[in-house]
Amino acid sequence: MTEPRFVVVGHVNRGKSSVVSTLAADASIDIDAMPGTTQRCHRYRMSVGEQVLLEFVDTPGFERPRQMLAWMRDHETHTAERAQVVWAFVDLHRAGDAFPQECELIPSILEGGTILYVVDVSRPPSIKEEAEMEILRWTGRPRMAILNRIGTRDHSGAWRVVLDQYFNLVRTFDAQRADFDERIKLLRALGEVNESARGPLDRAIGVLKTDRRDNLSESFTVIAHLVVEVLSLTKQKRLPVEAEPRPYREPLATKYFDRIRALESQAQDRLKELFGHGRLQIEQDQLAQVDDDLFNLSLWNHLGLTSTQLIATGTATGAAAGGVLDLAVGGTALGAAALVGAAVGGGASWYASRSLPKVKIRGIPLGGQLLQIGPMSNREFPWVLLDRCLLLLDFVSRQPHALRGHVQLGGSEARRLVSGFAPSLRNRFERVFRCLRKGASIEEVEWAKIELVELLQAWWEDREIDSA
Amino acid sequence: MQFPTLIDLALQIYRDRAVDPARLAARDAVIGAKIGAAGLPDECAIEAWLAEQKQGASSDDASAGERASQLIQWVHGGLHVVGLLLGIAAMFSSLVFSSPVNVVSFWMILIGSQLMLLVLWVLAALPSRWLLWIPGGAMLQHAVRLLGRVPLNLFLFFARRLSPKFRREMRMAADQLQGPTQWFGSLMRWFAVASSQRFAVAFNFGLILSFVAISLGSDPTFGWRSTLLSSEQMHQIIQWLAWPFAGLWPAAVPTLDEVAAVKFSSRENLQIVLNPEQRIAFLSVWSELWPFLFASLCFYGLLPRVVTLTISNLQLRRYRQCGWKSQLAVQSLLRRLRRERVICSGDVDESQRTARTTSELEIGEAGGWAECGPVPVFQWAGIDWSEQHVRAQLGEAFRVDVTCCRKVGQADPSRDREALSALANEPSPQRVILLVEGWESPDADYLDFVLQLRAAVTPTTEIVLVLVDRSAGPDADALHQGEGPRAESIWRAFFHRASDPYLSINRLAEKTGDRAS
Repeated sequence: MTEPRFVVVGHVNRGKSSVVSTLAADASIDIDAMPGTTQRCHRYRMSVGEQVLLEFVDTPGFERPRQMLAWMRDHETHTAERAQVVWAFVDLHRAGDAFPQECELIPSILEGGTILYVVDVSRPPSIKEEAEMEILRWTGRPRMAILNRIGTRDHSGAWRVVLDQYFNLVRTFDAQRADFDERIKLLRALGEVNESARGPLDRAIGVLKTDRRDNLSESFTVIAHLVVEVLSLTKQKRLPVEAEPRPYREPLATKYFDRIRALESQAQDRLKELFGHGRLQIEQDQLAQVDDDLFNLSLWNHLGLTSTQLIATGTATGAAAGGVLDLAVGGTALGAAALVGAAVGGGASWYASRSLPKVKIRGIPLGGQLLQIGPMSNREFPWVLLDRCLLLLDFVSRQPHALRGHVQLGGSEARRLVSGFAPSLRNRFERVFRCLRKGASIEEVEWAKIELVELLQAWWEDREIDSA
Repeated sequence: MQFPTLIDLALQIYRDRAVDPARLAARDAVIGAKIGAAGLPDECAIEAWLAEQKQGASSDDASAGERASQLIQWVHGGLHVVGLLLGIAAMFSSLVFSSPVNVVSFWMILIGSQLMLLVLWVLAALPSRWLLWIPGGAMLQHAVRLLGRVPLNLFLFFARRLSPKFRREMRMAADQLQGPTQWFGSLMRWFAVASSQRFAVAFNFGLILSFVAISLGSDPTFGWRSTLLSSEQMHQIIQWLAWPFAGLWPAAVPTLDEVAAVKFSSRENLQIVLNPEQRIAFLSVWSELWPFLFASLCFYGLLPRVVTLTISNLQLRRYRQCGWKSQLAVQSLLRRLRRERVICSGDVDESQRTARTTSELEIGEAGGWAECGPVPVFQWAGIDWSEQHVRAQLGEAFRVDVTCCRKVGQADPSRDREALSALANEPSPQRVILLVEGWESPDADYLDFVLQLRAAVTPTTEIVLVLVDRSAGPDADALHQGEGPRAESIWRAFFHRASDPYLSINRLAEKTGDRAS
């Protein structure tokens, strides 16, 4: 069975390439505000292994539709033979240079493609577009119109009146904003236009959903690795007893913080790659600078947990630890240990969220000094790190591939994601962070990674259900 | 999963750490499809994946894991032999024949010391946080764990004597396996424990074997001597020690009389003159403690080591069967092998991509609207102004008089030709204006018309493209500000291809009025 082919056509500069880019999730397709970016038909095949699921054809825009329609009308013989007239037009003009774009795009349609006609609803319908729609009607192929919006105005009302006369189905699809669900909705709609493509489309939709789920799982693994690696990261330098440690402190701290930045950057690149946004320039605020002695509110105050949540989480985990002691003594302490644990946990969260780790000097049993920085003692840091990763993941997993250029994340307008966690989920995360902070064993590190993946998975699923 | 496979897996995962994740995903997707990983159990998928990697490296040599496994077998064999020999030697050196063997020192040296080692073993196996409350506990545990690395280091010592490639691979493996946050650390810990317990079992087996063998072929006698302990106290201690096996072997628990009878002193120097029957009876009294010692050697020496060896082997087996699956790195690998990755591939050749430059400034600036006679105007479809409105708009904006206003760009292209023919029949104007919608994208249709217009007028007639900008002027709202200049720059760049020095582009902000034609 041949794969269904969808030919995306329209007037020049109406966002055809953007629609293909978003539908095929391919960020490599050239998109430009200048008309005539696409000069030839380009086929984009969506496949799994050797099996091609769908094919999208990005076409150059119609440039002389009035003239083409006039020629066709002049040569019309019978209504039933209009498609042959279109073929005859292509055959006649293929060698010449009067209608290069039209001769390039029409064969893809006539060779069995389903038409996706893209219009820009920020401009009103024009005579040229009416001519194009008439030409497409003459091809006799199943067709659907897509209302795309490039500018700020909205003429969708006027467009619908016109499009309903020419197309089996009309759908709104903003290629610059459509998320995964909208993409799936449009693919489903394509099945309504072309009955024979419904089976392959359903299969493609299933595969795309699985692929997205796998990408998300892989993303959670990437984030879990990052968090574990950063939280358990230490940098050490051995010095002889007589050496003055001061000159070594700053380079060691620089090395430590640079490594954290590098790890975060690698993880971010991987997240972007996973969702096909490798070329997208996403800017987030830099992690705190090396010389930030105190908690840098200007960088972090809109990420991570709020102070109240942080203290509440510390209190809860402290109380849980104290509760274990209470249980161990058979409750004879009347919950005193839980109370003390809660107070210590809350206090520690408040105090330890203020400073970044510093280089400390430790003695070596056989002589000498050991300078060490890490593991990360700041209680807020893992939450900020997690929030930054999740914000990025949230963005790249939803963003259409037609979006290009620079995007700023983590500005003052950015919303926190981790502060929306349920308290029980927060406490489970905090247990993992605490375990890593105190220097986890091999088994605990593995447990922490797997636990983080599971927690992130659970949070994401709950969120998807809530948003649905 | 076999041990060699586990080592190879650890090494391959370690190597893959340096590979770009996207390349890794692509590589494993290909291998996964080739081996049919989706339909294979985890273990088979990993083995097939490793086999593919080995094939890719086109090496016929045994893998590092296979060679390591052979070496491990040799090391284990060596540990068995050395343990057995040391056990026999220890027993021979503990037994004396010139006087009765002092049970107290015999037990303390051969059994008590092992019990102490066993306690240390348990200490090493306990989670660190359990020992935080014991002063020095964590430090002791750390020290014991360091000792536990001795077998691994021994193994690496032997490994270094092998080929440079193997040495390099083992160094990599050692870096990985010893790292606190790496993947197979727990496996190596249990492997080290199992190796040490193999040695201990062989040692105890040597002890027991030589104890029985010596007792069969010779006549060691057993007694006890102590300054502080009375016979009753000694009997009590023996009863406590014999309690675990007393039920199984009652004869292994000596009576008080038997214990009292074999007490001796280093100060004794009694010459006992006995007849042969009395001498035999006398000797049998001095061998009454033999069953107790034999049972102690079995119960406190051999049995715990067999138990610890079994536990460590069970741990190794558990890890080999399913423990490795809980490693996130292995889970990721299996996911990479099995997932149906959706790939979008286009037929665009990178070399075909045109390097686009912004050329909006390459076309001349709009005309200076120098004084000239009345101008003919063409208005493209979409601008449905009345002639009066056109006159008013252009007069107010550019102070020009309009001679006539013709509609072009209608559905029927032949009307464009008619309009141009009409212009050609008139005296050639100094300037012609073409009104178009500013929001439209320029295309070949406009370009064709401009070229035909040029043919209809003189080469020096100024053709002015006026973009009607509805985003400016009193009607426009703030939302659409900026659209006009953006559109103008696109039109300029597009019409650069006309290469017409007398073509200019200008914008017209429409003023309210009676616009309908």
